[in-house]
Amino acid sequence: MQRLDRLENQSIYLIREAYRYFKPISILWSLGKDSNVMLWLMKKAFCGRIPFPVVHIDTGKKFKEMYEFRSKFSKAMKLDLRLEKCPSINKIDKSLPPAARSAARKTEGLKTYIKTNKIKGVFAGIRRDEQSTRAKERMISPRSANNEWNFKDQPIEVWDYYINQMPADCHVRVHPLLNWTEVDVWEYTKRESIPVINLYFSKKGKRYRSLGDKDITFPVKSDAKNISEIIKELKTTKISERSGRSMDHETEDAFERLRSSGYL
Amino acid sequence: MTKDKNCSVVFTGHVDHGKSSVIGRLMYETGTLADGKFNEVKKACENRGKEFEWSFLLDAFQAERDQSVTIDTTRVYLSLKNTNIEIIDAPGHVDFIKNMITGAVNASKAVLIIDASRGIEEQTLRHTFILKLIGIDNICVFINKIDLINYDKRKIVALSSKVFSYLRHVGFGDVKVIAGSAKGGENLFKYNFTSNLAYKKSLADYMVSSTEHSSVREKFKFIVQDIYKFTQKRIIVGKVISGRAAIGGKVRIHPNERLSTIKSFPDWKNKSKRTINSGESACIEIQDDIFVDRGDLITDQYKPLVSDRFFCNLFSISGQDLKEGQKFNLRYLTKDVAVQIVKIESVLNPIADKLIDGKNIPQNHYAKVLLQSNELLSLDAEKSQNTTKRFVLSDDFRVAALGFFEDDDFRKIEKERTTKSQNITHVFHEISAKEREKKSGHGGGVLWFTGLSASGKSTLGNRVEKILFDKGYNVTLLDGDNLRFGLNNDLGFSEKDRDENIRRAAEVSSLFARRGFLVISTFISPYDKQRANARKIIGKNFHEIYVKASLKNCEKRDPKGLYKKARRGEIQMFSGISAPYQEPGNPELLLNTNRVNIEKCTEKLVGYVKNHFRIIG
Repeated sequence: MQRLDRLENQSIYLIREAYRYFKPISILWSLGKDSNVMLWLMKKAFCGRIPFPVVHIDTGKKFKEMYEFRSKFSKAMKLDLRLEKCPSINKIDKSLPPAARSAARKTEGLKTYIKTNKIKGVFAGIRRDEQSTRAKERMISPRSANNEWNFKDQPIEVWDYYINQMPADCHVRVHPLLNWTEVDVWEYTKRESIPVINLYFSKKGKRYRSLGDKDITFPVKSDAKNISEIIKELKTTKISERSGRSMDHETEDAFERLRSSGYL
Repeated sequence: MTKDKNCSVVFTGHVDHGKSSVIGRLMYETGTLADGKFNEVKKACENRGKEFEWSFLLDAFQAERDQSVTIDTTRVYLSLKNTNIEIIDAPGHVDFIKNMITGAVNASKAVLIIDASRGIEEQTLRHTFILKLIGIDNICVFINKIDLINYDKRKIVALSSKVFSYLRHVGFGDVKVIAGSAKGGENLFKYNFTSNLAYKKSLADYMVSSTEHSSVREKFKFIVQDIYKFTQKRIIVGKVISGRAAIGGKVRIHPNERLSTIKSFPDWKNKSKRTINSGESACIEIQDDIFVDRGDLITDQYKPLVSDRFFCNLFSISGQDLKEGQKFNLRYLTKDVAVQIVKIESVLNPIADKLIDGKNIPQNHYAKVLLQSNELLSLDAEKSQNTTKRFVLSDDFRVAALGFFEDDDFRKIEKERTTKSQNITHVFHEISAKEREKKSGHGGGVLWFTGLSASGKSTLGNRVEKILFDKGYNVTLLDGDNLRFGLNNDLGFSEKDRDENIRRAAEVSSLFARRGFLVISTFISPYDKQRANARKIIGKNFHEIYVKASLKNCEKRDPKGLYKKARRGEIQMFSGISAPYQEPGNPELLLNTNRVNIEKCTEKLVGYVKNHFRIIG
């Protein structure tokens, strides 16, 4: 079996396991390339439907193109779309550096959604190769009642035996794309003709490699105007994917702190 | 044989033998590090007043960097000689074995790093054992830091042969050993240091060497994950673990062995899908309206080994010793069943390569055990299948042990099954224990009343049966005397016949209990061995209730005049008079009918039943 087929089949298996054991479950849709692939895999897993809500945790600061894409794609894919607003920056931990603090608004929005809907499982489209603490994640990763990630004592995860039960008040983060790389995501997007936002393609010598809030996300130098060119570029680039995301780079532990308290 | 352009390699070894340096060097030299990453690591080291450490590339957590220890496994990706390599870094510290395993199970190859100046250490041995256990056959040993032994070829060869014989002993067939150094770069990318070892290639060469894929025609096997009913169609979803199937193909559904035919493969994109193949997460629609459930195994011809008793092996990762009698949840393929450790036969300490004394399984030990489950499991006992020979045992949301079936275990399971019931095939029931419990609100089991004749067993049994019946329980009384009128009318009162009487009674009780009934079995059952046998037959649902009364009182009550007859010698082998009654040492419940009146005893029993069998309400 080819790599993309293998990844696709493993992800679908995981998605079905999580859906079986953790109800109510929801999928987080950031509108980016990864979560679009994830939605696509959901459709494949459930024979053309997604039998649970698709949630966009909306900071209100996304690019205009992203909001346009949201309404178009959600209609075309017949999504049960839910929007969850985020609290204002004043309510966020003041000890965090500025961009991380801004990003932490998303964590708060997510926490509210999980709490009010008594959510037991959340699908999130993170990948190992994006960031080094994400590289250490589990496919199904438990979170405490406070949304905390106990990364010092993660459960063993072997073969296809993912955890399938949790104490009350806890929930799990499910990561169907964890073992995919950035190149895999683009190759799959191309193979399956999955729609993406055009901000990923080069305009005036620059493109976005990763999409977030418009005030803390910056484009990188690139001439890649279509997916094939992006794939070619990625095979030689030495610029890291999240280099345009400010919150990753403020202090050594900024991202770890965000993640251990509930960020994706 | 196809050359795979993608490969996952796990790096293992004792802590500080240089895993991170080798990985770091590989990443640096292949240009895998993103711009600025090298400087970032340098800065993180400086901030802690440390010399440059490659491990900071992989150790992402502050706790790992501050304490200079890898806690959890991670993965990095690099491109080597046109092959995409996924490197899995596995922690080398004994405290994080579970994380080492979590990483290693995803690899198809392993590199074991050994510090030339320190040789084989504890984790070297443990990791080797674990790698073999989890089914990694392709291994390469990298003897690192040869600069520390002055490139001494005699020392290298001596260490290599030691490693070689240990790995062969553990069971590795083909062992490759390379000597080199991450620091000087010897034999890392190029074979540039001749070491007098048989394998004359660099580490990079080993990593990109092709792994063989067998293309044996495998039998079709599909494990059921779930049943979806989004529309009128019932869709069976799951994974093809081997072989292939096509529309129109005949299938068997295990463990119930029902037959059907594949109608379609529902698929979102491919509406004309006609086949499914090994590795696919697929959907199946079958022609007949058969009840299929998660955990079922669908095959075309293959007949799995169906049993509820398993000889197998456990590798404990639990901080607490595993003991006989302990109960766990067993996960095999997509099936979850409750099991009990019936027997721990032997316990191996893999480091010392010695069996240990004692009956418990400590952490990181490997034991031969016998498990008993409450439901039948369909085991894939085919030799070629490695992926279906492993399971996990868990307890309170945590995995306690990894489980493995060896070929010999299957033989023993099969043997026990056939001697138990030659030429008999189990008739499977359409209704599962869970469904029964859901409907009745209680579990099945046996209340085994033992005690002298006239101690009050029948009186109590009848009262409790009536009360439970009125409360809606599925309950039945199985009386020793009644059984002797029919089923056991060929048996007398010799010791042998009495044993047989009890064995039959236990088997009948067990049948009822497994179908969700609460069985009150009243038998004198005077001997320990008889009750022990009944417990063995019935399993975890056996509850011994000792109805105690003094011989004097029983003789005084004597409602059937039996004691008088026994005293006159008209009845031989009468328990308490002319034959012994061995009092139970440790019954689940003791009711003393001398001291406590019948009402109180009844109340106590009903309370006991509620506590142990009631599920709802």
